[in-house]
Amino acid sequence: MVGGLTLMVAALSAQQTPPAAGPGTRACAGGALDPSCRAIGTPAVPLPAGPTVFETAEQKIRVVVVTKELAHPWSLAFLPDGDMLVTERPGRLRIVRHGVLDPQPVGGVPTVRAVGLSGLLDVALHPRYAENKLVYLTYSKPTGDNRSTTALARGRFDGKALVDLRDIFVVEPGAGGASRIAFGKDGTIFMTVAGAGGQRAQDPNDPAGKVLRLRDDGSVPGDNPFVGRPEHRPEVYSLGHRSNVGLAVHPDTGAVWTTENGPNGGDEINIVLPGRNYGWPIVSYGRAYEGPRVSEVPWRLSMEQPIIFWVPSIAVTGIAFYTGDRFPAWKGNVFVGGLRTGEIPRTGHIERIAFNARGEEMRRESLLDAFHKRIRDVRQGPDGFLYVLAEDEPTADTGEGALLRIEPAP
Amino acid sequence: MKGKSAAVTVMVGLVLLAGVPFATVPAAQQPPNPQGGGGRGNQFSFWSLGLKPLPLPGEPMIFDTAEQHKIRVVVIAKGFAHPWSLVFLPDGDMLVTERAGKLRVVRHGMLDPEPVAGVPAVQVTSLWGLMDVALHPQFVQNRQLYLSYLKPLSGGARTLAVARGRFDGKSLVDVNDIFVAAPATAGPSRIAFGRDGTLFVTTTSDDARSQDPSEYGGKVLRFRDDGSVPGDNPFVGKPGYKPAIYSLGHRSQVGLAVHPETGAVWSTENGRMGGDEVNVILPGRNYGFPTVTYSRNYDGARSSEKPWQDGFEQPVVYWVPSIAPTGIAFYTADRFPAWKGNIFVGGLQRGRIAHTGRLERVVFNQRGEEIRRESLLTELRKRVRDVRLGPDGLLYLLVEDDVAGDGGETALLRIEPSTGTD
Repeated sequence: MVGGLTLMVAALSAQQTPPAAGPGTRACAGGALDPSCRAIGTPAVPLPAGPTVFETAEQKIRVVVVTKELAHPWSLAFLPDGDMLVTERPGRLRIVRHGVLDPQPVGGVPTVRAVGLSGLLDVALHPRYAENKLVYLTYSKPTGDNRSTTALARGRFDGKALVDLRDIFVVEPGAGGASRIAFGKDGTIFMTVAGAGGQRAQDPNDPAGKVLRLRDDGSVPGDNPFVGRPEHRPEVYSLGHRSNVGLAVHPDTGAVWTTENGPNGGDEINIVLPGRNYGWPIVSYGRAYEGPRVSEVPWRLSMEQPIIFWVPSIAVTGIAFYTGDRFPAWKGNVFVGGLRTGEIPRTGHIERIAFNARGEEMRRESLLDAFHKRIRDVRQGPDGFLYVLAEDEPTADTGEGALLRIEPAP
Repeated sequence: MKGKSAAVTVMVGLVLLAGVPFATVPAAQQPPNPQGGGGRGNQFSFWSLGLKPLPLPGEPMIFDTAEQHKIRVVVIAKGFAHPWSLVFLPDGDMLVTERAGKLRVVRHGMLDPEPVAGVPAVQVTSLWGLMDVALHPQFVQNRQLYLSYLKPLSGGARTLAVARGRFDGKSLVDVNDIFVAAPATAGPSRIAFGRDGTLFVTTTSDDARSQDPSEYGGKVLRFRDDGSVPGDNPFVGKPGYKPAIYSLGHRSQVGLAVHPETGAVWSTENGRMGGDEVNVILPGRNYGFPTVTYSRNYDGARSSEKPWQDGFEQPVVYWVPSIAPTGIAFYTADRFPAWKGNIFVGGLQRGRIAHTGRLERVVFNQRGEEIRRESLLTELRKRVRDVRLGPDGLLYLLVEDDVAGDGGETALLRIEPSTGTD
């Protein structure tokens, strides 16, 4: 559900003609940034001061606001001492020390182009961070002419600032949108690059709309699936993705899971396998924001099927596997953030998915709907609690940006 | 998503035995690690999972919604035995079917304690019994009323039947079946009159019978108002086909409505787990079940190898995860200006979590393509069985707490625009 500004014009003209199903339809058919959507949705709800207790289907929980002083928080990473690094999309890296947000941002962060949904994006620690202090960031790197491309930078974190920061991979030709990173069990970096428009996601010679796999210095591993193949970028690991806003490596199996945003409908969870094609935009379960089906057919034999999908969209974001002990009934479940449901603003929530022994979905539950926040990320902390990043508005400077902690309630 | 097999009946029984629908699952029943193997999946345990039901408050409820800000939800009547369908009489009174076999009248906004007499004997199961009710298009003149129900047959057998009778204000008289499905079929059935005066009837099948043109299950049927088959039905005269069949390849269509402006026939169809659909029904078309579906079986496996193939109709709207869609209404009135042209669909539960029913609102563009969807009344935690547009331009809903037992709290609700003084 991210992007789609180009569809606004058509949607606005739709307002003037009566729809087949009746004449009352408003516009708001252009994705999250369509200004006509501002008239739609219920007002933002301020987070309560104290903890909020919710009865959920399998686990009674308490939600604690760690801080609500963040500006469009995008991702978080846990430092070995339990402190947290939090990216803010406008371009700051924040640190939460002993559960308190440090008013001083981390220094040394690269300059980002923070326009629309671009800016500073993901943060990840090197698997041997304890020894090398290396922190990785994805961001929208300004390239001049009011444009940007997705870049991966790494620097050494000295406790207050990133030092020796440099780009280790810059997406060329330029591609914007969301980008997540995660280290695989073999120490390689998986990096998602968005490719919503046109056919770029299907072009193996273009990094847009792909999952990439890199060494920790940005070079290409020799065992990537398309290494040495003409007209194929060697860094490409999988193709046919629209906008992978979530990425996580399963702590037990090492499998690489992504959450992928369809437009209106067709959000997905995929297990990403080397060399495979996940179909965008040839096949999709979604509709374009202004209504028509994205693809003539929703399925094709040669393309991978998602293991989970959503219709309507929930605008999937961060993904976490619950492997802790604090929520016994949630063990083995997957948690996914959602920005909004069915193209209605302020209907974000967390989605919980329970699986059977074969890894097949058994049920799905919506959590934290009552907050009416856009959930940008969800992570399991080293303490076994779940941590959540939430905001009110996609781009505006108004509203809350919060870090929440979900704990079991007695 | 609404189950209809014998296995489902067993599972519902387990809920009652468990007695604590909200209990934390014992460790032995915990779902295993995704992709991790190990553990054991318990296909029965999920029936005992869910939110706690909530009692309806004594006062009207005010909700803010995305486009029709501030709506008021009023409880008109409670105490139905699994309310299933409702219809408006010309004077504004309402008839409500109860799955348990009674037809009730709401007179001047009050539930008449005396049920309508003359309703046919109904086989009541945990999911079916007396189902839909519809008025003849010329009801004002002929007082003819139609019911779909599960008819007991000899030897404990049962099948779907459609009866009609004349409503004299207190009872049905001259009741006779105008259709009795043979070979027998069971499951939810809705009925609705088309603009040409023919009667559409949905039937249910959870297996390959949906594709079998010699079976009644899993179809939309079309009849004249006396139960005879119209000569222009798509398969009339085709060997091996029941001539009443209008469309095939359906699972369980718990909603059916004829668009008041276009005359198009819309149905809501329950997949198993995921793959709930809204379809616009066209003559002779095949809607795919079980050859192609977006659903999973209740044990988690995909129900079909592929979700779609050439030659089958695609739904206009579908849900993954399921909301267990029920009644469907087109909003064509003026009381909710921002909802004009929207469709409303009831939902029993979402994602296999009990007490997560809702009213779903779907918005279309000028080409009839979906552009957004909103969930309403999730706060009530009720199973929404039917939704109808009243002659007063307001929306009416039938709700219950539970599929099993007496249904817990059940009610007829009205949604009104809220005035500034609420």
